[in-house]
Amino acid sequence: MNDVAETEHTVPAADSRETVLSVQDLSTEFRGKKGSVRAVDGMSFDLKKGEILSIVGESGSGKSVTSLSIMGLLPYPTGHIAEGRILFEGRDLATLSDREMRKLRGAGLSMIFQEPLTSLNPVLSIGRQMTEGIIQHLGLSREEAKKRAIEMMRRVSIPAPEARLKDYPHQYSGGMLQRIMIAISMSCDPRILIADEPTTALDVTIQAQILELMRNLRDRTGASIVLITHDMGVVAEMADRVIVMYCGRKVEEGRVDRIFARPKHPYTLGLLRSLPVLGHAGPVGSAELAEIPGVVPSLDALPPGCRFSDRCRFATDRCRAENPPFEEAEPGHFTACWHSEKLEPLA
Amino acid sequence: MTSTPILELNALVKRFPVKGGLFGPKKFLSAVNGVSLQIRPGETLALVGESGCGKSTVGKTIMKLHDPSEGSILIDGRDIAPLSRARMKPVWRKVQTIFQDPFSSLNPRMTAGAIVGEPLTIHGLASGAEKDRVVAETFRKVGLRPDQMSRFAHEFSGGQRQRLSIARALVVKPDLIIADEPVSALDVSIQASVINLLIRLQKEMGLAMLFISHDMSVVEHISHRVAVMYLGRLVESGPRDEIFRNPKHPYTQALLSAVPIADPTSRDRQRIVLKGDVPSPIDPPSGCPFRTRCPIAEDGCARAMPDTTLLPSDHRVACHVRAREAVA
Repeated sequence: MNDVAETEHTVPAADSRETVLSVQDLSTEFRGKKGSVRAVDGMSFDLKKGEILSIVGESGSGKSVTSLSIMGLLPYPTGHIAEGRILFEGRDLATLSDREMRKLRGAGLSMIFQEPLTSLNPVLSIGRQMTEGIIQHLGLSREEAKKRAIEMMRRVSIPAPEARLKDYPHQYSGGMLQRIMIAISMSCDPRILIADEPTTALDVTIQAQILELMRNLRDRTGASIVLITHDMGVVAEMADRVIVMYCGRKVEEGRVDRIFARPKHPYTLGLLRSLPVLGHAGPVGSAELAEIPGVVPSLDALPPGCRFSDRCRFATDRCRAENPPFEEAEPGHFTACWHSEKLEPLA
Repeated sequence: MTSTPILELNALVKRFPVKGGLFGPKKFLSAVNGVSLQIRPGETLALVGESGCGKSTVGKTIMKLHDPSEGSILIDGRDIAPLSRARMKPVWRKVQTIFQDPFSSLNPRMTAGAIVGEPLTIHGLASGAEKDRVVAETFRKVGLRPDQMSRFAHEFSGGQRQRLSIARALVVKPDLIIADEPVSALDVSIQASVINLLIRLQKEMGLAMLFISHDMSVVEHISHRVAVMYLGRLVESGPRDEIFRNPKHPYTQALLSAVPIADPTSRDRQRIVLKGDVPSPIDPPSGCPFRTRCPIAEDGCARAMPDTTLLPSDHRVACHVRAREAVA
């Protein structure tokens, strides 16, 4: 195994596990009619072996663009990586050719998208789509690949997999297709799985199945998972570590228990307090949910200084003028806020 | 409670024809299969369930966007099921809808003021300066500024657009609001403000609300009573705390235990993970529709559809096993 250590700047020293992916000062831009916008601005993180790292944020936070940048799947020609490095097994993914990236996708890095229906080819059978990657990356024969596909389908609880290999995507339900996507993405034992809102389109009972599957796969193969979501409930259930993004920047990072109990950024605190939490409701209308005033600013009209300043109840003149550095507030817990010490822990 | 229900459904059925092949027999999909419920003034009833359970079809059938196949729909004691669309106009003043997607449910060519004012014109309630005054007042009520009346829908954010939909529904002072997933398309930080607004308006105006949702956390926060649907049928209903703290139907229990809780310290709680998927409503299982995924199913569950059993605290459940336990 190659080691891509030496980049310890975002990781608590306590975590001595091997770093499998290191994103360093990544900035991704999109060209538009009115010039370029920076959808991701100076994003850095290290992913450890066997770790589930969750990236949370609302629409426009840059969480999905971060994952597309890593996978080399930015829309061509509008999107491109402007700065930064993405180190995976000693290589910088940002500099690889399409051909080299294609070899890595599937076996090294694998991705699950939000919409299973649009990620599968409607005119190819499920069997064909499942075996394609296995033949390509593992070099197995068609027969062996078929056997492996059936085994993977069994693992994700598809009934009668032998018969269902011949079926086409439209013959499956949404929950089954997402399980097929997971089976495909795990079929070559990837070292890293990037899951972008993998359960957002699914019902909660199916979501529970998929999350359990992802946890099992991590436990069994030691794969690392980047889980991108807007759902704080899913984060609390799954993540070891959490990164909160706002307007293309990382605003907070730390262990999941710390983030939920003692958030250090007003945006994270606002998100957590705005959620109704199951089992905590009083009589109807007895308590209002905390609102975050205003809306997420558009990327071409960002406020100067801290990007959250115009919605933040802690904001001062300094916040509106100077961008706060991303610093360690407590051991292993980082935030970009001038006033993080003013935040009260959540009850 | 003694007041007359503003809405009462009795054994409502909605079937859709589906193609059974060129020469095949004509098949039907029962999206709603014998749903009975009541909503009283000032009360929010949440209709919950997963995709395809028929909860949205119930809402659309009440609005007569679909014609009911069987059963009755009583608004203020009057059955609207047999009414033609033309005779529905007075009913539509009493019953208004808020839809999920604030992007496609507002006309992009109309100003915000015209969108909110249109129902007043349709129902002949106000015109001219009086109409503008009522629209401006409604804008304020939902947290928008009257000077935004001349703007177009695309100039508003998602949360503001949903406020516009709410204003359009409220402007005719309805008795009942049907809200179909009204906050599901919104970002979390915006969701909270729309939920707060709905609760506040409901209280102030004494509205009844049918709140259709798949999000159990939001439902617990907003509703007084809850009805749970599975495959076109009500499996359980009752006061909110009965359903959330003392669920009886195995489906409700599984549904609640599957909800991810935004608290990492509750990770180790007991969970019921259901196997498999919801069966097709075209070819539902015999007997109890939930038996194919049910952790407590018995042989008898395949034979007959369970009746609804009334438990203490106005709690109703449709389950063979629970019915027997209740008697014992």
